[in-house]
Amino acid sequence: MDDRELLEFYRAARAQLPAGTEPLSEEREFGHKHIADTGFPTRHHEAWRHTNPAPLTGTGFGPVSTPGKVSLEQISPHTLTVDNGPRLVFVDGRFAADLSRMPEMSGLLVGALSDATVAGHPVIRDQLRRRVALGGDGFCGLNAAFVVDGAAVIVDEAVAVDEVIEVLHLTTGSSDPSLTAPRTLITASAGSRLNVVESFTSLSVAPSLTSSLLDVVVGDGAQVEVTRIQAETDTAYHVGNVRVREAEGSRFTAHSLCLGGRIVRNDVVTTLEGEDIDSTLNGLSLTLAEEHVDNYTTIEHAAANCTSHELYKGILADASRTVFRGKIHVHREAQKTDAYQSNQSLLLSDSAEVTSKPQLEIYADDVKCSHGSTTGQLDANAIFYLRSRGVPFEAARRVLTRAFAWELIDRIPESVRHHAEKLVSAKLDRVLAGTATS
Amino acid sequence: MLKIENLHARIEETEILRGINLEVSPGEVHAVMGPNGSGKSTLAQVLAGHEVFEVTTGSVTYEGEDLLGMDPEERSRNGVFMAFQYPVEIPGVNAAYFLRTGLNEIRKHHGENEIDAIDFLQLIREKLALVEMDESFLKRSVNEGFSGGEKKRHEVLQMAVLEPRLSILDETDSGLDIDALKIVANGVNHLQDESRSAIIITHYQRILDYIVPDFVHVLIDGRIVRSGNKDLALRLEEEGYDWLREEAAATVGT
Repeated sequence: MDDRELLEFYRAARAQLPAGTEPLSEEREFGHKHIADTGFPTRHHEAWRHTNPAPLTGTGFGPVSTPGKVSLEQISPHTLTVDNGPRLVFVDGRFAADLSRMPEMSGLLVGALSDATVAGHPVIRDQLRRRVALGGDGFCGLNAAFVVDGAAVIVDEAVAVDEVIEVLHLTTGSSDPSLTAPRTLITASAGSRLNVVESFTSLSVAPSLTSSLLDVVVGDGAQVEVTRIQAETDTAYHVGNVRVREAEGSRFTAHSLCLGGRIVRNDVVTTLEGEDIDSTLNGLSLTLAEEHVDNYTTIEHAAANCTSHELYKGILADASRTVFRGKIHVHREAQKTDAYQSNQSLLLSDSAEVTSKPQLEIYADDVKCSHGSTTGQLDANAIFYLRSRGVPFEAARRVLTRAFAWELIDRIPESVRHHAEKLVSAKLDRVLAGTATS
Repeated sequence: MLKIENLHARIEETEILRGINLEVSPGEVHAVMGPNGSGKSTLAQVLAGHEVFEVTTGSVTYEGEDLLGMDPEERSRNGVFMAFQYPVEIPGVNAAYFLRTGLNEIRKHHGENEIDAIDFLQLIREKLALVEMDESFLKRSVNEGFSGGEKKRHEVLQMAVLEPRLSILDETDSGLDIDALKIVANGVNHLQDESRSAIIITHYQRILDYIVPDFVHVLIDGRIVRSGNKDLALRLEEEGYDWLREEAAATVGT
């Protein structure tokens, strides 16, 4: 399909969406216009040089008319084991109230955007009116054009939320190639503290395209931690956009786990707008077969005295591929910036491929900015060392591969770690099994 | 216990071991000395099963079985241990986990249950005391950021935990000050009994003041050119290796 045909296809598809709340229907109009204006990127766009976007636009992914039926039992492997925190579950892009929990907590609003009260909340309205999606490419527009629901989390000033807030997106694949466009809006007011986990899972092998957009606003001195888990099947495509705005003295940490998907692309932009911010992006991907993960990150250092850290690690089996782009943009006024970026890849197969692209743009003269990138195989000497202590070859590989991944797992908040460990261990087994003889 | 016959081994195209013959009986301590590049470390690594070396001729029999036919892990489980000359750093794997995993593999091999956390802690405390190491060290990644002396003591600690029947120490003494050397020697002596044997590969006679060998062998150009008792080590310390090199050259006729 060319762009014009695709736009027509999307126009017709959009007509079938439920009307929904007013701020969202307005957002959809803007989204559609944005796609019409910018079109979708192709391989010829620098930002998509290493990930071919054609499969994402070519096969007619359309919105799901009737969401699949999902039971509590079906979702339990994909949820945290804690049994009292707030949880929002979306099935094929629609809020599933029967699977969700929204305990009353003072100073915290957790709800679905399809709820008129939530969507009408002044903070949510303001956040939507900033039209974050319009700053991105056509895929950002796609989220806006098809958003019918999503999660909203608002924590009031100086409120520390101890419970993990869980947002779970499931695709059931009960219809044709499906398109879901979930939006998650998080606002952490000044001095608040918040811990969110957002997961994406597919319950079938039917083709799906998820165009997600996570929009986070971190207020003065607020502390926000977000764990994002993409664990879909190898017929799933996911283009995720993450936009984070941080205010003075705040602290933001993202943990991204890419554990499954035919093509997974994460376009992450964090903007450090005030001084004394500490911002961290951690990412771990485990890929096999022909899975392709592209982490396209940008850190905008727009103010002085901020620190940013990035550590992205990949474990690649078979003919899988990962791409990492790490842009650090230090603005003229961002003196005393301290930014560090590292991308480390472990290749378990000769056919796996890594593209790593640091991109440092520095316009201030008193900054500390550095990056490192390593790609290699398991250390043969370390394997021999373990074997010489009685550990069998396969177990030795597992110990070393696990250790490589666990540097990142250990950084995940304790309340989420057990769940993350379970998912990563399962994927690790599959990744190692596929390459048993390499 | 161990019988090495006419062992030849090479790395890529370079032949390093050129016909080693050595027999070790239970309870014996053998020292293997020799100048740099003589093949001492290669001998140790071939016995431990490092795949970078290819055995071209010869045989090694350990307790009646073909040692060269065993994988490195099988050798370990059957009681062969090599203390590495350059212990490998393993980021992200702590020393306690490393020790316990190896120990459990060996226990499983002998049909025993895996050791539980409490028993392991008790065992490891005892062994840590032997090599005068602090418990905090167990939480650190294997060899990462260890000093040279700590790495070597860690090797001896592993030996003490795994209780091998044949220990091969590959230049465990090099780079150690006298106090660390005594600790290492003490660890080795503590394990030694009439059923266990050790091969001490070393450059210097010094460690043999603390671990008294029953036999001393001199390795030059991939062959054992002279064997004797501990007095041979003392003579080497005084006179160097040149007299043996000359003798060896005369014998071989090269």
